Amino acid sequence: MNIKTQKVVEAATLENHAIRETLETNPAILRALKRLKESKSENHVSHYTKHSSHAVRHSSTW
Amino acid sequence: MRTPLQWTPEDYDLALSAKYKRPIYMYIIKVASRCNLDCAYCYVYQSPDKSWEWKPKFLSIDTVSQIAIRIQEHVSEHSLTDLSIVFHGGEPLLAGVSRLREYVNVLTSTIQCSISFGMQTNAILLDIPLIDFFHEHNFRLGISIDGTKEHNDRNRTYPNKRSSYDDTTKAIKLLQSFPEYKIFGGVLIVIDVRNDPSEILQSLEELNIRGANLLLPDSNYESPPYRPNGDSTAYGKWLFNFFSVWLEKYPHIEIPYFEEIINLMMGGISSSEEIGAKSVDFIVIDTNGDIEAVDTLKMVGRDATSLNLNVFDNTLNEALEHPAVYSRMSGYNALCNQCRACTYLDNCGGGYIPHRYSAANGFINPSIYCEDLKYLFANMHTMIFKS
Repeated sequence: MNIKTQKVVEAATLENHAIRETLETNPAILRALKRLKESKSENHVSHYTKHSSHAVRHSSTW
Repeated sequence: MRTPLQWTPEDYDLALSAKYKRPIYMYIIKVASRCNLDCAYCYVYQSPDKSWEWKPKFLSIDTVSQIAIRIQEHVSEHSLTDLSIVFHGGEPLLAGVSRLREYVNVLTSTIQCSISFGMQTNAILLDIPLIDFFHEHNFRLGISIDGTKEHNDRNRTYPNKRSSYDDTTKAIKLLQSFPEYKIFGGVLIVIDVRNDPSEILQSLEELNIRGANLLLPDSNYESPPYRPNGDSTAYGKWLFNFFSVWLEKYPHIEIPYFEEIINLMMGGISSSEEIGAKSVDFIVIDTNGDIEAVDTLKMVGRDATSLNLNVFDNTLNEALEHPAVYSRMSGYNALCNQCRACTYLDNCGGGYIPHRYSAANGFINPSIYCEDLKYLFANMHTMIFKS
């Protein structure tokens, strides 16, 4: 997905779920949106277990 | 497969186990069965399941070789292109860098697909040779710490009750002194409602920690959690307090627990086994090769953890036939009626399976934290969304 389309999807998602304006650029909300996109991929697998919350390389982690 | 515990509801259609079955993508491999700490809430050493006492202290080369063979069988059968292996324990660093290197060599030479390695550790034994090893093999580390020294000292001490805080933070800082290695994933915090969330977040900031996850204590209906004044929503209030402060002042710190809930609220699918009823595609393999669904079930007892399967005798596909495994792949179908009828089903997914256990109903209950979770979801939703 190119950057332009990505921003359209993010805007549409935000609108559909009506996030409060004050939170639309909140880094935590933006990361959650990224998780939302990733979770819709066909081969999405569990990344986080009690054992390995950060011991797994997840695309949205720093 | 017969089991003395109830893993699925009375109306569960066994055909669902085949319909929802999926391969195992993540392997939690216990490399050490002992620990250098004696944490008060540990699900391994403070639980009714005392099998650790007779299991090998360390994973042997014979056992890891057999584990590798079984994983490669699974990779081949299911055409897997990548998987994750997390070294765990006990305390995995007790195995030492030489053993860890041997394990990685055996696994990478046998398993013919991409492997992402990780480790969950108290980090106390971390040194530069280990850090170099982790960098060499592209590991990602999660470190356990519960907040400030006062918070951490409540439960995370050495066997002689001495504080472990300074040793853990020293290890964190050592790891952070190699920023170019990008090994440090973040920390894992077990919730204690006596610990102030603002103080925890401030301590994360001061330690320059940019990822932290939260764990509810391992409790169930037979061993309920501590509740101040019997408050049925004490953990919900604590979590929402944490969430509120985090969202406002520390949103740059990644906290998967909350981010997954927000993802679920927006219609996504969870990446976590603890929330959201997403198919759970991992298993645990112990130091003697025993295959387990998830070792936190030790808090229930041996009947919950033992699948009577071992890598020397059984394939990983056989694990998929056990109700402890396929029930967690069946989504909402494996939940009780109360969960399935709940407004928050999509947010919650029945919570975490060990928290649902009762002697009377097995795992066919709402979570022992049900009221807490409803409180959290309702308040998070109000804070985040316009309506």
